[in-house]
Amino acid sequence: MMRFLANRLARTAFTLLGVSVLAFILIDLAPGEYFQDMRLNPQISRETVAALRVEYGLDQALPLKYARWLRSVSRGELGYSFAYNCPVWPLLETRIANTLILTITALVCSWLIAIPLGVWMASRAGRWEDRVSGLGNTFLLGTPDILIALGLLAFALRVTWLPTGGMHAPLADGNLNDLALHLILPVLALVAGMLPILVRHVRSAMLDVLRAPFIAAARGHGVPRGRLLFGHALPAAANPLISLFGLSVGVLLSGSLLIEVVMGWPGVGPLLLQAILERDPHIVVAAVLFSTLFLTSGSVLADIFLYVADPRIRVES
Amino acid sequence: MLTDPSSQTAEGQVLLHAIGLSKRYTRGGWLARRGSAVEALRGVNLRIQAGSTMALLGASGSGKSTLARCLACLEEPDSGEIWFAGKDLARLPRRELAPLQRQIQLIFQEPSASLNPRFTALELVSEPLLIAGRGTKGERRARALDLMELVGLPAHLRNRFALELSGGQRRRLAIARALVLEPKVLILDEALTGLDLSTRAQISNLLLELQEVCSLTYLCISHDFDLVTRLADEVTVLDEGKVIESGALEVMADPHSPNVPNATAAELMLSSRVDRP
Repeated sequence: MMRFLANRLARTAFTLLGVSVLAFILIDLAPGEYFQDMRLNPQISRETVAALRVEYGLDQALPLKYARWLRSVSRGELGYSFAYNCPVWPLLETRIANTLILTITALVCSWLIAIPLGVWMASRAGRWEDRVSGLGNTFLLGTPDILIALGLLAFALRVTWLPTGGMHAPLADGNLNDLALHLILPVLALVAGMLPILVRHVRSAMLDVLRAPFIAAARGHGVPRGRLLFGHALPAAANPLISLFGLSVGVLLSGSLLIEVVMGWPGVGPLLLQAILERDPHIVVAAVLFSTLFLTSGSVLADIFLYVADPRIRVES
Repeated sequence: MLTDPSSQTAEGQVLLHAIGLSKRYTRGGWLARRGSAVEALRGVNLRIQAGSTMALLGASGSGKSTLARCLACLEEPDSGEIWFAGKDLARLPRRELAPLQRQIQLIFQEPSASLNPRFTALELVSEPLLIAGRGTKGERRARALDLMELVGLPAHLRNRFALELSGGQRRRLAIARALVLEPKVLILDEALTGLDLSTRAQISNLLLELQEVCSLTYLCISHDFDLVTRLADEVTVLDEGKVIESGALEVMADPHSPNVPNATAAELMLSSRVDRP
């Protein structure tokens, strides 16, 4: 197990390095740069802009820019923001925490709803309850996330007691109830986007297992329905679902970046959008690396869960 | 008013009696064309004497496994009666059915698929006792180990998962799990298929021993004539969901119906019959 973890950590480090190189190349290839708009300002001289470019290393070749960024990473700064005129890490630190609060809450809620709902739908397969749930699922799947978010915002405006943006009410910083209230809308939006995919996979995995002879054998031994579904079938159906869990971590993060912008959640999303618009390269690279790290962590977590959950994997290893 | 047709006959007590069992499966989903259905069983009658072994023969798709699943109460027949212990299982409410269902155990064609891969051997054998609410944890464990020993599984295998056992050991484990609730009827659905000759002989000997020790009645579904001749007292032949032949084993040598497997095979089958221990 330790060897497996060390192997996965080494692979994650290589992935992060590769992604950072790719992000630097793509940002460098994109037209324009942070100081481009300054050139249009008649109050700023060309010499001043040139001096600023030299100061921030923008006049250097790509490998030198990358080496300069790597040195900054080794100091724990993750680069330097031109727009904020400060290292990137302090800017990103709290926003990453905010994004994690939103994403992990949505992840837990999605799975807590998807598992019983998918199991129930599989146990009622072919009946009207399953068909009605399937239709609802298809409707949610076909609705764009942005539309769901806007619909929820419109709902919040009508009911008035639901906050329509931000993470805390003024003067309520640190209040957990207030945080929970502000989480409702963005979490609902994320769950509504993720839930249909998860429910479909849970239902499909369960259907496969419910047809297995060992389920019929368990029924023959009088195993009650609840134990049959959750004690026998669900653990046997868990492998593809655990792999999906790893993927859902990454999917929810990318979804949350959009929802954060629409719902004004002070996470990585709005900062990334602003950095892209302002061509602040180090913030973009750091945000991309954070996404990669989150995605690979989901994959590593899924592998660990698989190792723990499936005796066949332990036996083979 | 239904009455129990099981009675003391010249041959002995009828333990399991199916009358006019029919089962049809509809193909496709809710948008499928009407009438697109398969008649798996068509008015099947079957009488199995207590302590005997009935062999169920027939080509693939003749309805053998459907009949087995209906008798084990894993499928609900569309019509017909299944009399066991004085009750019609096809009409019993679920609550009353559960204790009787445990007395008719089905051993599936592929034990590796019929044993939950997440459970250890000990968990697999002791779980039915837990479900039935019998004994303390220690008693259930002891009973499971006793049964494992009875079917020839050494105690050191108790913490192994089914995938870690050989084909023969899996069959023994499936038999132990089926026996743990002390059933009266064991339905063996191609239970020895895929085993090598030596293991097949060992398991069939074990089945004969268990029949004596546990007073079991077998319904044995098989394509293996050797096994049928070794185990069975009576034979029923199914074709397209209907019983086309039924009677003592010797009936196979002189089939009344042209659909019975060819006479040469039947003669061979009879010539290879060995005396039962």
